[in-house]
Amino acid sequence: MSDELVERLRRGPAGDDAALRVRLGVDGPVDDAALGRALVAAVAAAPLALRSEAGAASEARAEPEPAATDVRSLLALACAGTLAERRRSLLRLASLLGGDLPEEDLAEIDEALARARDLDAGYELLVARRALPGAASAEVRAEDAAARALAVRLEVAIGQYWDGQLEGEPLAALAPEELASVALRLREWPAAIAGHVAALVEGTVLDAERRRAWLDAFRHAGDPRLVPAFVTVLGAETRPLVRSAARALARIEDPRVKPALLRAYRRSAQPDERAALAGALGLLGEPAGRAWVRALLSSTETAILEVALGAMATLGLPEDVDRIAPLLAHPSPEVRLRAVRALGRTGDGRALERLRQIGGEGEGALQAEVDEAERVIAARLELRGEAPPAERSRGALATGPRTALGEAGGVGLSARLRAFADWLAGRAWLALGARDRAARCLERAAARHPAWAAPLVALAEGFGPDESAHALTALRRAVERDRAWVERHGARALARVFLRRADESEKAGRSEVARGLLEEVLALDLRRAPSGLRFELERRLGTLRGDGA
Amino acid sequence: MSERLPRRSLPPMEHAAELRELCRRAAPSAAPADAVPASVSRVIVEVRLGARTELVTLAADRGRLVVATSEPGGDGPAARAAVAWLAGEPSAERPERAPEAAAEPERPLAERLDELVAAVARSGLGEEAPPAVLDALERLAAHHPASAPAAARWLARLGAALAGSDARQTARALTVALAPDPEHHEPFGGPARALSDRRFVELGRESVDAWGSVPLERRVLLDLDHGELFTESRFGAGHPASVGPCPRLLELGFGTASGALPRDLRAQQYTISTAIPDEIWERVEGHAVSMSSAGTAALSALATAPATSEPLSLVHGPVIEDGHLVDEGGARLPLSEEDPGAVEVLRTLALREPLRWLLVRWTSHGDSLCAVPLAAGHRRGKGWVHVRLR
Repeated sequence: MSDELVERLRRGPAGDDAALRVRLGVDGPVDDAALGRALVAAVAAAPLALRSEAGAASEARAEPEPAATDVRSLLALACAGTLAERRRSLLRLASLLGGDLPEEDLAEIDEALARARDLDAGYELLVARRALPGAASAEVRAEDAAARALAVRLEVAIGQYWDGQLEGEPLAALAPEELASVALRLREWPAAIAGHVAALVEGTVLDAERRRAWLDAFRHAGDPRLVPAFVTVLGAETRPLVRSAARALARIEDPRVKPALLRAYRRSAQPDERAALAGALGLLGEPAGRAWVRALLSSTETAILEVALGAMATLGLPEDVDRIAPLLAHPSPEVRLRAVRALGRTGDGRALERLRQIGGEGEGALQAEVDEAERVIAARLELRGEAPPAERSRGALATGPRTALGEAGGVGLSARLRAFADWLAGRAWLALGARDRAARCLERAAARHPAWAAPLVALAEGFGPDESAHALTALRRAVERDRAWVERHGARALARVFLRRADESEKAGRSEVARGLLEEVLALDLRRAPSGLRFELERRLGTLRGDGA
Repeated sequence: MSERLPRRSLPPMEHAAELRELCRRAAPSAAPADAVPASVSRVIVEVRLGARTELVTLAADRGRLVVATSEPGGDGPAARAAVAWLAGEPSAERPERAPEAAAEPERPLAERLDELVAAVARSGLGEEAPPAVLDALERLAAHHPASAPAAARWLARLGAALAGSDARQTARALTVALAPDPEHHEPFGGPARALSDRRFVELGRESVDAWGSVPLERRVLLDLDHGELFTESRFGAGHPASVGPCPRLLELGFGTASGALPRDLRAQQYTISTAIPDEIWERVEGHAVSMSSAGTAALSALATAPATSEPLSLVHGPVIEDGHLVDEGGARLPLSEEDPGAVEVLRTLALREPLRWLLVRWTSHGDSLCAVPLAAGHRRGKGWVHVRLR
């Protein structure tokens, strides 16, 4: 009888149905509402059962191990695989490093890890670098020791903050390098720190803008403990927050992520938000938004093209080369940059040809993207056993070393030697902590050899944390003299000094100045800067631009 | 989170003639070759009488015209206008003049609920919610704004049940309309009781659908002294909740609790701490109950308040087998498909570490009960680990 009543409710019980009235115990003709109420009461009164029916499907999933086991293939996968493949390959390399590897393999891994700038696999890179033998991992071990002390300090401060003993929010008080370290190592740190980050993002204490800044700061953390908070933001918030949450979620390996992103994608109607969600799904290997994003590539709006190309960097297939390649000639530098990145991810040899056509014209950040895209495509071709198209005709990379001490024109040999001696003396004084004397020697070296950038970079490195304005001036002079050399040998100093100065400007309320500094440094080739610093620069700029890109 | 109800808007129908003309223009000249044979068996017409709007359903039943209308008396001007319009009589285009063409007057909540129940009775649920039912629901939500978390949640659950054509769930939700004075009962009203000097630990947090665009964030707090599970709702800027991460200890100085089980807490004076000592976690485990007694309590809560109750339980650590929770006593209950990701995380966790307790929300699937996992606790070494699943 209960099933019959359920069916009547589904069909609509209205009308003169005497039999139904009798069943429901309703006397005489009644209006539809009364009949409906009687039926609702009867159906709702049917008891629920405590019985076992088919439960939620839950498939046993083994951790996907990389198919390749040789070092060369693992390195190619670590460069050009999907995010999951890159991460697994790096962890596999780390475990191989714990064994007995031939010298040439060790050297190859060491070089590849030193070159790698994969922010999405930052934690796995850290684990692999830790596993390097001897001095190669000394820097990482030193950073780990500092990070452990920071974690202890932070955990105490967080407890005090929520207890009301500490007024300022502890993460906001960290220096940029420290914040990058927290994001990189969060997965290894206590639950109280991850819980604090989750609470900031969920937002009982912060406004939307600062919540988005934290979402962006922890975009690459990859900590599954953050998933519930990020999913909450995904379902609840405004478009910029949703975009940031989608990007952060896609970088966490967790079974809750894909269903949440799919749900949000199906609900979303705004192109920028939807494209970010489609791109996030693409990072997980889910092609749901590919066709929709492809259609956006024919848009004439620069902003739409930017978000579409951002998504194509994870969704692109070899057949998309012809759709993306024409955008390499777009007037917007940002569109060109994103087109290069998206072409790189297609992994197609034809894309290599197109990239080589613009390669010689590129400068700074664009050239860095072109080189990275070429490297990724070459690695993919190698994984597929294909030969890359014929080598490029141009000789060296535009970012390659163009000027060295010995080849500078217009400066006599004795002047160059005296400059070199001053530079050596300056470095020595720096090592001894005599900064004023060091500065005098280095300035003298720079004056003796006007095309040489090394003394100015050394000078910038010698300035203390509270003298970032002076360091900035020295670095700008160095870039003016020999940009390629500075990008190659001074990338760490560039990233650190510009970041510190931007941080100071922002804290002083001069956001425009901070934004200008970040744009200036990010226009340079920073591939040789530590990935944490580079990420922090990009995150800060995204926050200041208000686009979270 | 379940799917939100899709919003619809019907085209404006200022004049019947205009509507008829628009239909004429939109109608295909010939049926496509692959068209499924279709016949119209029921028509729902919205008739405006000045500021008033009435719905009229017209159907043919074994050669007889069945007319159902929302207007009082059953055979008023709206029904006559609808019949005339369908018959193609020009009088349908001269609606009777209403005495006052002002905005629709306020109507008591009970009448709005009656209107909704009547719309369901006339239209049924169909494969997807009929426009007349959705309209009645929208009007109810528009005239009784769902600013309170309980009302917003109730409307969203009813909307989801209607959208999914789930007759049992719809009936449970519509029991709100059976109360003689619904504005004084959950989810639209009800007494709040004062609480003071209690100690809670927040065990779980989830975001659930609510009416409108803002979901409801719901925290689950365990009263450490009495073992009762409370919720704390955070619903938009106008309904702030206590601050802090999950898990946390919350020492309540003063607050109120209202609603069906679980009761909803509003903390007004409180302190929090993120450091939760092991003895607190042991007390949490001490409050866990067997799965069968948790299920029985959930059934009782759902029978008492079928429209609004979303029972919670803290159960002794079960194992997970084929999508079911299985406890030491052999009780076996299905996990909900509402959040397959959370189920997968729970399954992986339970394989790695024996669970000591599990926090679940009970929900109904068809005519049986199933569990949505929210958080779990296990031991690692000498310490406790809390895992938030949603």
